[in-house]
Amino acid sequence: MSNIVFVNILRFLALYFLQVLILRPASIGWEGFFYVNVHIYPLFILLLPLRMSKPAILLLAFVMGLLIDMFYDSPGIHTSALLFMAYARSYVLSYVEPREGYNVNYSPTKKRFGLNWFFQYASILIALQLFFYHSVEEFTFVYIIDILLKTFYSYLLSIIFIMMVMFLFNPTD
Amino acid sequence: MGNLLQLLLRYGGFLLFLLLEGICFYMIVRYNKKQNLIFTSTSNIFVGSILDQYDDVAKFIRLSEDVDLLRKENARLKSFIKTDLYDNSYRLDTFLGDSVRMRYEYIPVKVINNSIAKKDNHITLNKGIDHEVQKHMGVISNNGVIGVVKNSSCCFSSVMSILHRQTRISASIRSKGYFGSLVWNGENSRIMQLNEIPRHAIIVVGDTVETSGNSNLFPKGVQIGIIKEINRKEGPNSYDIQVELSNDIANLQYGYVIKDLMKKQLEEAIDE
Repeated sequence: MSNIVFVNILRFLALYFLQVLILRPASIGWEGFFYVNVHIYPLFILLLPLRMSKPAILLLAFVMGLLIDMFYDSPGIHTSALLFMAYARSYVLSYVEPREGYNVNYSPTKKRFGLNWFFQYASILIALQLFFYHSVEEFTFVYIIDILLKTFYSYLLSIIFIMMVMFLFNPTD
Repeated sequence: MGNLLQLLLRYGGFLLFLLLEGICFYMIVRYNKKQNLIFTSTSNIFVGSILDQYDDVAKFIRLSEDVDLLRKENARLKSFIKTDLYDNSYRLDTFLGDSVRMRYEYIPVKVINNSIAKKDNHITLNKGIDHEVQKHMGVISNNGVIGVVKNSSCCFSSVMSILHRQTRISASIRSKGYFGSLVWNGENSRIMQLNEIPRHAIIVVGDTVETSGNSNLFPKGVQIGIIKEINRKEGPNSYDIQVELSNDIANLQYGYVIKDLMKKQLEEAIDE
C-alpha cells in the first residue's frame, strides 16, 4: 500500500523534472517551430491507481498542472488541459474496459493489461490532452488547422516518449 | 441538506472539475497576454452585440412616443406650407413679414374607431372640444382626406368618413383647375366618384385629384387620389370619373384635424 504511494510520489517528481528540465528547453529551442510540444507529464495521471477517487485525481492533476505552468510561464494552460484529461480518464477507462473487467487494486500499466490495451488507453487520453492544450493555447478556433497540426505532431512525439518510458521501466503499479 | 450532500457526493467529481477549470480559465485570461487579448476583444464584441439588440428593443418601445412627437412637429410644420397661408399683400411693396398670415392650423389626432363595411361610415377621433376640435372641420391623413367632423364632445369627436353616401367634397384636378364634387356610391372602399367635371375638360387617366380649396374645410392642394377610369355618360354634360383614393381608410391610424383660423371672417363676408 505505502509502496504504491511511494512509487507515485517518485514518478511525480521524475516526470515533472524530466518535463520541465529536459523536454521544455528542447521544444523551445527550435525557433519559430512550435508545432512540437512533447508532453510526458500526463503519464503520471495515466498511471494513478484504478481505485483512486475522481476528486483526488482531479486535485493531483491540478497541482501537477500548476507546477508545470510555473516553468512554462503560462498560468492555467497546462493545468486546464491536464484537468480535462483527468476528468476524461474514468470515461476512457470504461470505454476500453477488457472483457473480464478491471481489478481495482491494480494500476493501469502495460504490464498488468498488456501492450495493446495500454497503447489504446494512453493514445486516447494523450490526444485529448494535447488537443485541449493547443486549443487553449491558441484560444480561438479560427486557427483550427494550426491546432490540429500541432496536436498531431506533438501527439506522435509524446506517445513515442511515453511508450519508451513504459518499455524502459515497465512498472507493475 | 441531506439531499445537497447526496448531490455533492454524486456529482462531486464533475463539480470539482468545473471549479478547478474555472480557476484555470481565470488564470489563463488573467495572466496570459495573448489569451487575455483574445478574451477581452471577444467579450467586447459579444457585449456590444447584446447592447445593440437591447438598444433596438428600447427604440421599439419608445416608438409610439416618437411617433406622437413627430406628428406634433408635422402639424406645426404643415401650417407653414404656402397653400395654407393667407396672402395678405395688396400692394407690390407690401413688407414681406406682413404679406402672409397663417390660415390653417393642424391638430394631431388618433383614430380610435373606424368602419368601412357600411354604406355610411363614421370614424371616431381621440380629441374633442377641449383640443379645439369642433363641428365642420376637415380631417386629413398623411396622404389623403379622411372626412369632416360631425360632432364633438369634450374629449372625442365623430367624423363623417369620406366613405359616406352624403359626402360632398369639393375636388379639382391638379394643374388643370376644373373642379367637381367627390361622392361615394357605397361600393368599393378604395374608389370614389368625381362628378360635375365639364365635358370640354381635357383629362386623362392618371391625373391627380386634390382638394380644391373652395370650401374652408380643406386647404387647396391636399391629394385625394388619382383618376382610374373616365366614362362619358349619354345624358348630362359632364364626365363620370372613378377616382382611386391615395389613402386606405381601412388601415387608418393617425390624422390631422384642420382648423381654419379665418373661418369667421369668411362666413361674415358670405353672409353679407
